Amino acid sequence: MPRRRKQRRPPVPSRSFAEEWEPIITTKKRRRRRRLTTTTETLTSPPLPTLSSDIVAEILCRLPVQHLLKLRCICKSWKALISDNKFIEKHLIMSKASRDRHHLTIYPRIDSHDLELWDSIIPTVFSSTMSSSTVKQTRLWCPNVFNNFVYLCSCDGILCFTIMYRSVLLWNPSIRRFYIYPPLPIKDERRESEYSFGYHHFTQSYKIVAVTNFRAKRKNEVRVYTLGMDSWRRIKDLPYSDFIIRPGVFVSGTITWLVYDATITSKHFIISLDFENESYQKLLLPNVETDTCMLGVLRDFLCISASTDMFVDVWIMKEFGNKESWTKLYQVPYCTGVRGLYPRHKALYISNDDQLLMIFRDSRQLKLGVYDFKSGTFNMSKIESFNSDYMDPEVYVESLISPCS
Amino acid sequence: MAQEASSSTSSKTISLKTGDGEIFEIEASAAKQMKTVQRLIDDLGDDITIPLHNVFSKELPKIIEYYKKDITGEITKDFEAEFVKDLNDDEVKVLFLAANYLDANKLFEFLSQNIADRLESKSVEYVRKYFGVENDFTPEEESKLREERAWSFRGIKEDE
Repeated sequence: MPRRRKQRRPPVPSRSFAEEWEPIITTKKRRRRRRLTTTTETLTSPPLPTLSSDIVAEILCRLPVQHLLKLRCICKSWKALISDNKFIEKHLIMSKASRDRHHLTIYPRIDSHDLELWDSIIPTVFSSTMSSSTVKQTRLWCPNVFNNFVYLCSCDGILCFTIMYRSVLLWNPSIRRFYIYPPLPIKDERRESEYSFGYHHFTQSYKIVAVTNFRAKRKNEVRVYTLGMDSWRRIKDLPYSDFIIRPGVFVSGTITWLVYDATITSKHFIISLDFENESYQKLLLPNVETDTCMLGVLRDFLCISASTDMFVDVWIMKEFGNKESWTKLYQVPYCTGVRGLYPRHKALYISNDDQLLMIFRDSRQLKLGVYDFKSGTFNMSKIESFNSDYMDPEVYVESLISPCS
Repeated sequence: MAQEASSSTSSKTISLKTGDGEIFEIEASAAKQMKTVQRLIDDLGDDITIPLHNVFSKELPKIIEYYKKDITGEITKDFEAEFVKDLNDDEVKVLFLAANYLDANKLFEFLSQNIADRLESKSVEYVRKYFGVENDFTPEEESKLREERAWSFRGIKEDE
């Protein structure tokens, strides 16, 4: 579609909207963090001033990703700003703090080729529990790969999937970019691999961690792929020899797994891999009277959802690594009807006003709802045709981060 | 009862003079929240009228109103919603720039968020005009960018 233009203007110099305004009274103190710009200075209200790029960044970092992608075509310096790493980081920080930038995805458990993901924003999930309206969902465009995907985990807006447990696909649904990483350099086929994904703050890089269990050898080999490098690097084996059933979660600069000690204690415990020194730590769970536990992350804290007969106890580890800091946040009563076999109840997300989004699931049912601590009530979320044929819903945050190596 | 402190400035007022020559009074504790004003006070003393060449009589009273509420700890979501309710997009922008100039952090962040909320569903053309930015893409470059992200261009509301 041709744009309507009066006349072709000459290219704008890079500082077109950053004319500096020198204050008439200069202060001896440090220079201001942000520059004000103005086109003229008169005694009446001036014509509306143009804004410098750091002020623009303050506004833009609060916008949803979809809108920012549109705004890339405003001008060249805005395009550069929106792709700038510092801006992307700032945007991520704002996203993480905003309920409006968090999404819930659900997908049916189907054995076909195409992945079908349904997405809704968290505020609508919460508000549907208090009204009769159903949650508005949009179907997410998915990478066009003809193999079975399994969702594993997410970090900073990037979803991590495995394709047939042989390779990893990282995908940022907000910017619609994905990348398939090379498979592990392991020839032996009698093995199972599980993958996790997280961020190493110190080197400012994302890492995929692969744990491969060799049935015959009874050990778990661990390899790390750093985005930006192009190979898997082997590190120390996991101090645990059985197969790890669930992917680890990224929390506090570590990948952390919940594992079961079948031999000695017959209890669950936690193993965590620190990205910084690539060493392992064993952690104990809080004193829960049940074996039915799910590991998760709530607001950057490691979280255990422990299902007892009547309740789900939600615990967080306030100081990572310190067993004494396990704190029981809530005791959520079961929602009606979900008290069957193989419970996998899990706390998913907590809002700033202490409303907890939870999954209740057993062998026959899957329900999603919000627990309000202040009133002690649990309200169901109305998601159309959501049933036990669906995988566990997940929460992710919008971001501009590229999943590509 | 006002404090009779020799060192306390809690009951003291500061005079601020706008770029168009009007004078407004503000409590010293509120002035502290505006770092630019505080720096000027530190340099010039708190007895003289502080000149604010880049803030005008239309905006300053609104800013003073905000910080009056802030020092008594009464800023709520309802107050903030009411504060911007009758302002149009351009008026908010002028206030936002004034808050930036005054280095008034709390108001600046609140208005950043408010502007972002207003712009969330506006078109590219509107945003360009709003920020006074010139498009330096060629028509071909721009249409290529739009095509790449055609999916993100749906769902825009009518420009007001």
